[in-house]
Amino acid sequence: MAARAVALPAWRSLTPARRREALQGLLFISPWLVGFLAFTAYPMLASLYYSFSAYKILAPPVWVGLRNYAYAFNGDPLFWLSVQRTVIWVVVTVPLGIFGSLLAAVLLNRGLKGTNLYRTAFFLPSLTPTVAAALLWTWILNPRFGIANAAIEGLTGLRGPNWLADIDWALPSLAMISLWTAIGGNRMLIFLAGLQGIPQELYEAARVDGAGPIRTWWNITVPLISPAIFFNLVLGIIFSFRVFAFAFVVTEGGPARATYFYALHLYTMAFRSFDMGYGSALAWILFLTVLVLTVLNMQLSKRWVYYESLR
Amino acid sequence: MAAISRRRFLGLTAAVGGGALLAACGGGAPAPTATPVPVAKPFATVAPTSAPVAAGGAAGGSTASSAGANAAEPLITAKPPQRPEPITLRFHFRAGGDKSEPAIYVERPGEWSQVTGHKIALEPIPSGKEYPPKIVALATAGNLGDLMFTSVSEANHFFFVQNKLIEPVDDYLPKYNIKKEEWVSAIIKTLTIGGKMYGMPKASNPAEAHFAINLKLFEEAGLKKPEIYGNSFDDLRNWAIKLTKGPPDRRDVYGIYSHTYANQAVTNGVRARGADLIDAAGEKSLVDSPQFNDWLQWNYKLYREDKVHPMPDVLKPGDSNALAGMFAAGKIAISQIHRSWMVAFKTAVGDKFPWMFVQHPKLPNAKGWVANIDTHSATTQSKYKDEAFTLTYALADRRFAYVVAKGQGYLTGRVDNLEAIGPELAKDPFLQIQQKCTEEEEPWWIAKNLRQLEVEAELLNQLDTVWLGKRPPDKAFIGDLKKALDDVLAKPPL
Repeated sequence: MAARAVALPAWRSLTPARRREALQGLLFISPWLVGFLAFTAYPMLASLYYSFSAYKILAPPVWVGLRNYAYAFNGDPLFWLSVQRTVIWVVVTVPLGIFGSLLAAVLLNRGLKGTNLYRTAFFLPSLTPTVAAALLWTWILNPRFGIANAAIEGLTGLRGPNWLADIDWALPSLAMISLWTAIGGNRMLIFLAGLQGIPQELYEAARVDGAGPIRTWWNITVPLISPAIFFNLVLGIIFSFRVFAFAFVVTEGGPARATYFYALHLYTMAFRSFDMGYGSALAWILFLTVLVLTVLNMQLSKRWVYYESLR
Repeated sequence: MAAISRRRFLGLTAAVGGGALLAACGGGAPAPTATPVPVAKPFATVAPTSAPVAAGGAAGGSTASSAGANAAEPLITAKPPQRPEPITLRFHFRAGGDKSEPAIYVERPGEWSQVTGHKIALEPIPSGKEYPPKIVALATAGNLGDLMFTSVSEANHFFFVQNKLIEPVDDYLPKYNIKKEEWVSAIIKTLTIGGKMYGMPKASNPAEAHFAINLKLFEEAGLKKPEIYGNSFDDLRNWAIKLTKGPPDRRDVYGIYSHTYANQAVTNGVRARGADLIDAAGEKSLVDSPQFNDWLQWNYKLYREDKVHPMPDVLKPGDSNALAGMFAAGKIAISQIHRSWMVAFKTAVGDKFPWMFVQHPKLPNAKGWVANIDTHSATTQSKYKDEAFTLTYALADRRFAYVVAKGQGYLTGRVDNLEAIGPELAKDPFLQIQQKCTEEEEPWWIAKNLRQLEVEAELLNQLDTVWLGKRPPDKAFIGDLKKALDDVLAKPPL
């Protein structure tokens, strides 16, 4: 359905009854409206102002123009280091997460015996609170006493890695923990809904025309769930750029800053060093980066996302 | 045993995952029935034995436990002026302190309440990273309490002073006939900023200026009992090599644990060799000194060459409870020990084997140990400044020294600690070493821009690359480390 701009009637042209109705409507949405203005809109605008200032919280902000932004790009060695770690994280976890969730959804959509049990099993990790999952995996990945290395040693005779204590393994370990919670969560349910929404007649027609499973997958399934893939891709990128909790709880950015993600740097600057002006600038850089990527995704989506209702 | 590579791990994972997927696709096979795990009975609930929380006003009977040796000591020496009505002081402190340090946050405030008739509302705040932001949030909202815990270890005390959250004590000291000479000079120097003194010292400890020694392992290795003072760095290393047991890649017993994961421990290590980590002005790092290099090489040998030191995969850095557990289990023979880890060590070891403390080795030209000071400070937002001050003094006076030594097993920053705690408690060898080290303290360096935490994070993360074998401890590394630290120190002040 094509979007249509709806012109709101001018307030003066409304009859008293319509005005009363409009006021009642505003009254009903006022809890959300007040919450949005107080806790989202105002802090965002305030942080935009702070990003152009030296603001140490306990003293009034002092306008410094673009200094915070210039320092981020040209003076702060941890800025580019954290950007690098975060980009690696996004590149690794977003495709793997989408692929894993899609695979799980496809398996659940096959109508196998015990599907409800599998669905519950796949979904349960996503219900685990982040801190609990982090602590659980800290034990699983304990290099000496953890079940992961015990299994590796038992199966292969090789010594397992040091996981979170190793510079090379720490980031992949966190990615593994993150995927464990993410693959079977809402993303999988969205894919499942998409798969179940595909009319069976299309598959039957394809079968009659002699299409094999691979061709059916590429020419029917993928196009018809492409809106779900696109939705999960956009959200996945946004959430991955904000990666924070696992690194904060498990590694604190270490060892040797191997897991020092952008959001951790932002938090450190704003809430540990109380450099709220610089922290706000980092937040806006993150926001603008994600915004640009999302707009880019929206533009590119015209080439590969198929909206049946728009045809 | 060979270590698995990332490539091989991925291959194995793909094989295992693929197998699992095929199995799932196959369907049909009933899910294996899980063997029921016997459910353990819950632990019996232990009723708290501590005295009622000070908020309840006069904590009846709470003084009984400490009224023995120093019964002659007055409960409260600095009493605030009388008020027509009792007031309630709001006291911000590290959450859990009333359980882990009841002598400080239950017993002693209870005594103050008993004498003054005023109440104290304890307002716990999660410790560590969460503490300063919460204080800042309260202060910004104009809702800061009357007194609070502060620490110089993360420079939060200085940050609070700079932002005028802490009331100077200079007007109150003469008013209550209190002399600064009651505490060791390093404390007074540290807490005096711009000519004014801020906060009353709860304690000042020399951080990791001591090592715990397992004498049973010493005897088994044919080593004689060490002296308490005067051991050299070579002594420690040689002992560690002889005490270590098991294959190099996975020791059964590690000879030594040298704490390399805290700025205070690194500073002590460098100071013991006659230099410092950061200059006195807090503007330049001194890691290009021969003394820092000596510290770096000594520890590198323990970690990477002798392999007598547990790596982070065996012992998570900074996990004092795990360290105490390994020491108590005879898995670590010599352990550097912070004053605040004492309780964990004593509890873990008990009477399993004979053990002792020795002082951290130091060269003849050594500088003093860091003065790691915790304070209780009256806030500028308090309406009851006299009451707040007298309570902070009650948490720093002679009786406090006794209550802390008896209840918590460590000393405060008083010069007369050993006298104040009485002859029985003063026999404790650890308290004797601690007092000597406390008297040898010098003010800790403070980054001029107050970015202490950033300096520490940079230092420890860079050092990690050496301990974990990613970089050799060569000139290039030290050059990079110096530049990184100097860059942080050159940032604008907080």
